[in-house]
Order: sequence, then structure tokens, then C-alpha cells
Amino acid sequence: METIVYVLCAVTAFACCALLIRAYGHRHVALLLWCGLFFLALTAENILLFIDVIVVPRTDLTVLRRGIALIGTLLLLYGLIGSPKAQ
Amino acid sequence: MPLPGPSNDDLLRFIDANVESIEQLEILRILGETPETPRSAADLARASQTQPSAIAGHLAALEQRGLIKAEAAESELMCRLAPQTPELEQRLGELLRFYREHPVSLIQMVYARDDRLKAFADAFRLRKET
Repeated sequence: METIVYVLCAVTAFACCALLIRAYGHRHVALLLWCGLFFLALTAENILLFIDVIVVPRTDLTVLRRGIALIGTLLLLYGLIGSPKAQ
Repeated sequence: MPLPGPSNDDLLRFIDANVESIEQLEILRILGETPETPRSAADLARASQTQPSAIAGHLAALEQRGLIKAEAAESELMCRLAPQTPELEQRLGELLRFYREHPVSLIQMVYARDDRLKAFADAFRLRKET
């Protein structure tokens, strides 16, 4: 059951990433790129969570996972607050 | 109040897909005044009251959407209207005509959009509205 949840989380995050990056390819609205990168980081974090808990349970990947989540969050914040407008 | 000519929905759909800002709308209008004569990027920036640092981005976006053609010539970027398909040409012509006849209405339509949030929401539409 856990495995299914972790996989679904990763798949959902990746789907969001793909849709946002695809939309950025059409519209070139910077927010789409930053949100897409955030969901990419979220995908990576979910995959690492799966690896951490299911594949290599004796190894602690918490710091790596949290680091990736932090990077993703910072990218999102930059896209929302810090990036100059495209125009 | 409904306005004559292309429906507001048609115009909104075209604007949503191809025009991100008033600056880009102005660039299209200026290029539409002299469709056979290329205009330089600097000239367009002045005429559309766009920041010179931003004009290249606008022109790249419009070119990427197949509305204009930009070519480098003697260290200047020269642009002209060049819709890539007959449908684009027709839609662009309708847009520019509408802009000439109802400039305030069109500007209000552009400003009424919340570009970023709408773009974000639209990203999750699997089927685009036709």
C-alpha cells in the first residue's frame, strides 16, 4: 500500500511538471517554468522517498530529500516573488 | 455590450494564445501600419513606449508564435508582420482592425486577463478550447 502511495505521488508530481513545462513551451510565462521546476524537484523528492523507505530502508536519505525539497521551494518562491516579469 | 465584427470570445482566444501584454499588442499595431516595411527594434521600443531592455523578449515571443519575422541587419534587429498561416493572417487582421475601431475595449480585454494565474490554470487543461 505504501509503495502505491509513493509511486502515485511521484507520478502525479511528474505529470504536473510535464504539463507546466509543456505550457511554458507554448506561452513563455515565467511562472510556468518555475512551477514546473518545483514539481520536478517534488518528483525527485518522492522518488527518493520511495528509495529511502522501500529500496534501501537501512540508509537515511532524509537530508538529501529535504535538500531537494528546499531547492524546489526556493525555485517556486523565486518564480512567485523574485523573478522579473517576462515583459 | 456585444460589439460588431469578430466575437469577443474569438478575439479573447486569439489574444490568450498570441498576445501577452499591451506592449506586444502595440508592437503588432505599429508593424501593421507599414506591413511591407521592416521596423527596427529600437524604433518599435520608442513607438510602443516599451523599455529597450524588454523589446527583444517581446519580439522573440511574437516571432515564436509566428506573427512577425525578425532579422538581424547591420547590428539592428529589423521586424515586420509575417503571419505564418492564412488563419493567423486572418485573425491578426481582425485583431488589428478591431484595435483600430475599438482601442479602449481591446485594451480593457487585455488588462482584464490575469496572465500568470490563467496561464497556470490553463496548463492543466488537457484539451484546449477551440
